[in-house]
Amino acid sequence: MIPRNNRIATIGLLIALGSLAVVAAAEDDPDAIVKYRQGVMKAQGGLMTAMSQVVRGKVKNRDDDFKAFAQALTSTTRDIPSMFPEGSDFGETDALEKIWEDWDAFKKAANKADTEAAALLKASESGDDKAIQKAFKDMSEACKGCHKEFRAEEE
Amino acid sequence: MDRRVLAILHVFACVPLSSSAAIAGQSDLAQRGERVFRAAGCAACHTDEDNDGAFLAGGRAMETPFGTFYTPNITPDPEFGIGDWSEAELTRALTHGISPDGENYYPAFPYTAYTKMHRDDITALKAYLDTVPPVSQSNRNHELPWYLSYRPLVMAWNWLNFTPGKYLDDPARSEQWNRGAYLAEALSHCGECHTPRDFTGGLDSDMTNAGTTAGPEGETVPNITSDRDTGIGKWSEDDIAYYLETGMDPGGDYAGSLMAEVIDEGLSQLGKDDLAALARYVKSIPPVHNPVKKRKRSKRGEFD
Repeated sequence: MIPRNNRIATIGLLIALGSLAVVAAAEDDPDAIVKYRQGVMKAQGGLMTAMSQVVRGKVKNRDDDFKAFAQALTSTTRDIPSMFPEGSDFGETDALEKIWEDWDAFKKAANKADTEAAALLKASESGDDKAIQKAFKDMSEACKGCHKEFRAEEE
Repeated sequence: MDRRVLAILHVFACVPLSSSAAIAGQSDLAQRGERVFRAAGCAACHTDEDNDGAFLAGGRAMETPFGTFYTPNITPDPEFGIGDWSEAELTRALTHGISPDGENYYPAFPYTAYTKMHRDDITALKAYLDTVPPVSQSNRNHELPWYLSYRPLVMAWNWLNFTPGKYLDDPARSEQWNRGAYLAEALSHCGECHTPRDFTGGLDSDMTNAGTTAGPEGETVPNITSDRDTGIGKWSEDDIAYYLETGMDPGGDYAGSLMAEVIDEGLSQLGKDDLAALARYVKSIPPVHNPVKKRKRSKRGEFD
């Protein structure tokens, strides 16, 4: 039989631990989330670079790669807005304040990448060159469209 | 098929349709003018896209170290736009920065570049501008420090920083290079953003296209000289042309903010030949070693 005071202490401890876990889940280190999203963006850039060589007809017979890369892009674009939590607006970031001022517009622009990546995957599975060209262009437009509004000019 | 139908089909085949799509049956001259208009990037500044402003009706805020300028309405509206301007008046505005009333424009308007325009391009541009839907929207006054409202100051500025005169072909270079140079220097005015400015606001000619951290709207503008470390010397001509068309750089990153606008509103619609010419010229820009540092924000919510 645990004395009552100890029970109160235990409950207190549990509440404290519980809230700690919640805090840990809610708060990423802002510097780290900037690095995290830049890593994801770089990965996307690498995939787009490789695919663009194929779309531009400079590298041939890479259909299987192309499909795999389009597949990867559906993962990296899955939830871009979640990588931009409130307060992650400083340090080595080119993210513009407008992201948090106009969150709904940002979400719409960022989520377009997700939609277009799915379309690109579908086109790459069809093997139809025209459809692939168009889907790649749309993907490109989604990237540029979001940067146009929400990211500063790169150096 | 009669020629008019062919011409219309030709329009649909060659001109990407945009908000200002070439009107079916538009004259050949106006169509040529639209190409000039796209290359010159007029739409990016004269449309207040952020606030869903009407095409070319002006009102876009341009923040500069010298104050905030609001671009004017350049639709053919006779009262608020430029509908009652003669071609000579448009030419004087573009090539000398002087309004029909004889007032000096501020050099936020890049007449310093447009002065190099071929006169037949101005004729074509006027024909195109006349086809744009007129918008009855008055111009907003600039927000400038008191001393800049003294317009004769601009005459002094011109004396220091402005050389009027048409683009002259360099006979030592190819036709394609000269086309690219004309596009870049007279129409697209790359140097107006990519070249750092001295304290008077004039371009620092030793640093042409070497990038700056004090670009329009406080933007960092990259070095686009052929320097391999700090510029774009590692890009191929094809990479440059692809970037100007799509906004994607060789690393798979995409143009942001103002450059994305310049691409969307103009360069992406130039067609392969002009993009190749631009790329040829850009690739030939002499290297200037100038690392353009990123702005770092030390505190939350601290945007400069």
